[in-house]
Amino acid sequence: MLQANGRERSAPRHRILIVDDEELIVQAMRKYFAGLGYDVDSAFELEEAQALLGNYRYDLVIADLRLTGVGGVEGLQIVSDVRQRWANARVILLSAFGTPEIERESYQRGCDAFLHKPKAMMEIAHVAVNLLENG
Amino acid sequence: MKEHSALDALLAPGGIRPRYQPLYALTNGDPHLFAFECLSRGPQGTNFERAPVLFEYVRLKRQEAMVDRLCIATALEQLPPMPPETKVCVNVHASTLARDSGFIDFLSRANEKAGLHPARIIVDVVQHAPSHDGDGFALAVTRLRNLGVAIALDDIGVGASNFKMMLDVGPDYMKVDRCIVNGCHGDAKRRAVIESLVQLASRLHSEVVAEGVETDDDLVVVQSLGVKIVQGFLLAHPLEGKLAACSSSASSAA
Repeated sequence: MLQANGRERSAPRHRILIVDDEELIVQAMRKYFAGLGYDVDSAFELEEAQALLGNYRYDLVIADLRLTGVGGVEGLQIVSDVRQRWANARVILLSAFGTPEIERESYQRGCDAFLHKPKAMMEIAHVAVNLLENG
Repeated sequence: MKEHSALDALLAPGGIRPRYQPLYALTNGDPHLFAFECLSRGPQGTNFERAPVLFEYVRLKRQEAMVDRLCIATALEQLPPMPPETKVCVNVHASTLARDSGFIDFLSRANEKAGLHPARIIVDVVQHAPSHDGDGFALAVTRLRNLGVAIALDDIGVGASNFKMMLDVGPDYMKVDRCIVNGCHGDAKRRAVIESLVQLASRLHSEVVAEGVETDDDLVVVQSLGVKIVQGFLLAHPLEGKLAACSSSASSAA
């Protein structure tokens, strides 16, 4: 297993959930994180993500803030769902529309990192791996 | 953005793929085929290939009734040939029985279309909501009894299963969840739970079905505790229709 920096990783495989309504983004992130040696699941909508969260334990969830049309903030619900289940799981929210108020609320709900789109995959991976490996 | 929701994909033709898992009776010597449970898998290559994810999603979308109907219709349409005495279990959410007033008529028509006598059907009530005290649920149970089908309670021992449901339904079968059964040969607590459920079932004129039997040791133990019907990977995985047909003909030839 390789880390983002290319070094070997011998720790147990972490399980990641990626949630985004953009199919191409999901595919790209799945491929990238699977290539780093993580077990990756993905979901396109809130209820699909919640069904996965109800059946599997994830070490990291990367979710888009908006999963439906204009004004959606489903990502906040995902942060709450993760935090209610696991205190030490990590959550990253991605958003192209995040206001300071929403960002603040995401942290209040237990989000670990709020990233503003667009972000290069390497940048997202750097934050993700850092959260997983170093807490 | 994805053009269609996952629910659209489930409801599209071929979105639900039936599987059939045998249940075996332990009476009269070796296990022999007792029933097929109709199971469902979602579209290939999606999260809904995994049944727990599929049905959790359906419940979150509050579409249990629509999807229960679709799963049953699909399973009965594609039912493999089987010996005439073999029973057929179909899963139904308790919430569907409570809220879908047309469900019993639908089930009756689906049975008839499949050429199944109601006495061969076991309606397996899936308990996921905390309570179904409403009149709709009680009426549905009465109508199922009048129809002549048997009733099983699923997931005994986990989730929302409870004693009141046993009193309300008076089940013919009590299906003990695999998390209670699996590993019982090495766990006195699990054995105690199963033994007490066998005694309770006997007092309620019901029969325990042990789900999740995956080892010879567990099979021997549940049999010694008085369980007479078993299901699990040790005996058979959920099968596609063609394979289930082979399995039933092999079983009846044995």
